[in-house]
Amino acid sequence: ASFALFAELDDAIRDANYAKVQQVAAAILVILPGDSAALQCKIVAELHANLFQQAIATIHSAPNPKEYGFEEAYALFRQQDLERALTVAAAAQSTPRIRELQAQILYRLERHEEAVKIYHELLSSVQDEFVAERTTNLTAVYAAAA
Amino acid sequence: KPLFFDLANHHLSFPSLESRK
Ligand SMILES: [K+]
Repeated sequence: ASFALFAELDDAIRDANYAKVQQVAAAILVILPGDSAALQCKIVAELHANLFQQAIATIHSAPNPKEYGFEEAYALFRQQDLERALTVAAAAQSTPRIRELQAQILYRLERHEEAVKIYHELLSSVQDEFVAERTTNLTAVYAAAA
Repeated sequence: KPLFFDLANHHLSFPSLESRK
């Protein structure tokens, strides 16, 4: 019975219809409580809709909230709860996206040296479509530190 | 204020649902 709902969820993701993603993921979670994919969809849709407190509540309702460390740290970052964002990010598995978020948090906290270190690390190891933007961010950190 | 991008936002990703449909 959940197959149709997952197909509907996939369509909503393709349409970037985040309200629909939240609604369908919630319907799946009634049938399959704690389903990891449905939870991930609901959390990411809430974050894209700027519903940061709701995303944190969804994460805390999950069987394994630690699985969503990046998402929780990002929600806290967007709520300007920077110290807590840093703590949650530090507890998460270190991945390039966690490192990038840590750099952003450190920049906002004016911990420039630490942010610079992470941007250097990312610029030497990550080749994605955001290299130019990442370089701009590093420039902003240098400007703020000057 | 210098330009600064929220790149972490671009790393929010939906899981693949292919095996669930
Ligand atoms: K889970």
